[in-house]
Amino acid sequence: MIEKSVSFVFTKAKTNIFFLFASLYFLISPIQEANAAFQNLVPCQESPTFQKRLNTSVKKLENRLKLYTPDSKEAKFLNREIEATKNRFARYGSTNLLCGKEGLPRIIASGQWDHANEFVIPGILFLYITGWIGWVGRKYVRYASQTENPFENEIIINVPIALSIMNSGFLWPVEAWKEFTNGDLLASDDDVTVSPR
Amino acid sequence: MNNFLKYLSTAPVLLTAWLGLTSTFIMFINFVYPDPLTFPVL
Repeated sequence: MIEKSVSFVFTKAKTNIFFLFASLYFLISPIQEANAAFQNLVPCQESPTFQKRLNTSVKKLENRLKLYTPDSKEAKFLNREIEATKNRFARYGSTNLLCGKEGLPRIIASGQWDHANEFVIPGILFLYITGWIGWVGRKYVRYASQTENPFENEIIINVPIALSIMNSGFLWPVEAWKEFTNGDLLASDDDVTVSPR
Repeated sequence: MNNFLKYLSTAPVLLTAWLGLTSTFIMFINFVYPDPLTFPVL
């Protein structure tokens, strides 16, 4: 009994000493911080291959332009294409986009604030829009289930009600939170069928 | 007339109309503001 407790204390001491040394090692040793500065990428404005892509695209369009008379609709279309190409490259260059060696822009999706326009903000906008669509659809289905003929109301839509429900969807995060706190958002476990086990 | 409106409210008809409107809207946005890669800085 005494030998058991002694050996137990001894192993506990060994574990403690191990953790002490491990934490000291990680605190003291020179671990380099992960740097999200993207050494392989340059701002697109400063990338020579990005400029080269612009020049090649414009040159190709201008070569095609030579085949047509200046006032033809093909020439007008090609001139619009040339303008659009120059505007596109100018816009990608003036924002904070980073380009790789081949001159193509990258979307930085790590969540850092100086590249928020590339992923974070479009992502939040996407979630808001899809949440609106889903919430409004759920609301209509719940309305249809309360009518006297739910099957018919799900295939022949009550358009005025549906339109008013669609317009009310812009506050869906607030409504969803309210329903969640009221316990109305989720079905109770009794209503969820489970395979026999 | 009522039956005709009911027909127009059926799911396939509404779906066609709704998708037509949505695609027209998206094409118009791309016409006015082409080639969006990132969210524009306002």
